[in-house]
Amino acid sequence: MGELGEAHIKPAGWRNGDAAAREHVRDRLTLLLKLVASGDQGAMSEVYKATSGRLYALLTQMLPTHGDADEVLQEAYLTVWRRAQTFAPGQGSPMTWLITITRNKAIDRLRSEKHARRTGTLDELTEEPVDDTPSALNLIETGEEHHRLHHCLDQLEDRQRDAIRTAFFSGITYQQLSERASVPLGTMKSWIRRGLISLKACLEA
Amino acid sequence: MTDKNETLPERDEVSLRAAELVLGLLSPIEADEVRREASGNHLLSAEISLWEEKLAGMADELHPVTPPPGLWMSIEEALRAETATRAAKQEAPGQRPARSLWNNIGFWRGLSFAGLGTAVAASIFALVMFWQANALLTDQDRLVVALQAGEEQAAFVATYDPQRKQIVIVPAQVINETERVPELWLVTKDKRVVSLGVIASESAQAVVIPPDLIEETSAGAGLVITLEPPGGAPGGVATGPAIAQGELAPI
Repeated sequence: MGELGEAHIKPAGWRNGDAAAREHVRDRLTLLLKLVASGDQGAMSEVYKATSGRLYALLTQMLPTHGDADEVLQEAYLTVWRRAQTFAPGQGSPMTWLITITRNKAIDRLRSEKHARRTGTLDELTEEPVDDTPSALNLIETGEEHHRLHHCLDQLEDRQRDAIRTAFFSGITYQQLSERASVPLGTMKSWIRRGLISLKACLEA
Repeated sequence: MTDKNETLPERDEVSLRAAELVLGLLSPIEADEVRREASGNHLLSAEISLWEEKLAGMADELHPVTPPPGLWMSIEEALRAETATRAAKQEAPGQRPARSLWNNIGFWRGLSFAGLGTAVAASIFALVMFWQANALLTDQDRLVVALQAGEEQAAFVATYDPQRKQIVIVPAQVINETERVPELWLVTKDKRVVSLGVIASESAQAVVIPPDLIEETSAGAGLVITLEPPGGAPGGVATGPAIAQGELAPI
């Protein structure tokens, strides 16, 4: 994974956390985004402090160099600043909103510059170093739904799960995924689409 | 993107396309198609939101990685410049940006040095700049220009005072550069580029126009700022990147 190998992936298991504390973090972020929408730079700084570690971790996974990750992180927060009025708390969590903006910026970057594909196999990209330390993660809102996501991902066939996870953490297309895994495009599509259907059924159950 | 070999219920098909978009599996053209369709298809747009919410949970698996320490400062500067420009535009709709910026105290108030970072520092800086600039100017027939790096951010504001035959140039942003210095260039209407000398990056400064360039310094002439070695561009030819540019216009 080249230059960015230090961003470790945690095991998919659920970590103990205090639901009330998570709720608090979510409410705080929502409030901060409201202040950001009114042009409050102090609030923006707080949003950055609370979330940049997670967003940067994601970017260092998705992008080939730290330079790319730095630039895209800046673009992402500038977008947050410009679009904070469009964040509607009723339609989703603030962290999801931030992650979506950040991933979309990273995907734009990957597509626009036709970045050289990162070398690495599906296995390398999805290996999971064991680490049970409760980290700053506890400060971030997560919840029962995310627990459920990990549970449902665990129910998938290995190759389906690996393909979906690689897609999420690399932002690469079907075509690139199939090349990387050395399988025909149709096979890769089928793995992912079947995996997604099963995932959806499990999440809705 | 549909897989023709499989027949899926309509709802599943819509949901899959949403998930493919959210994961980033589609080519830019395919992704645009799905986005366009979503703007008129509530089911598709709801599925996109749903997958965004569900899949974002995967990011929990990553250990937070602290970004480099200077990154927030760069973001903060960009925010500040954007706020200043936005305020200037809102308070003087329909006017030329250069004109409204010059007369807009909100614009000046929005500026500050990195590191000082507080509202107080910004206000002091703005007032000092404003007084300095005004002390250097008379009121007649001024030409002004907001020198911008892109669409949004003014990096310098320049005013030409034909009575005193000088340009007063005021930095509107911090320049993150320790090795090179800003140099001001006049671009005449026949596209000659002539150096007006090295300028200060942290204070307002008057630049006297040489007699042979006075006629050229008129509305429509351009000003460009490049970064050059200390002492200025060797041989009077610009070597560094242009960090700001604009065209003189009547006030």
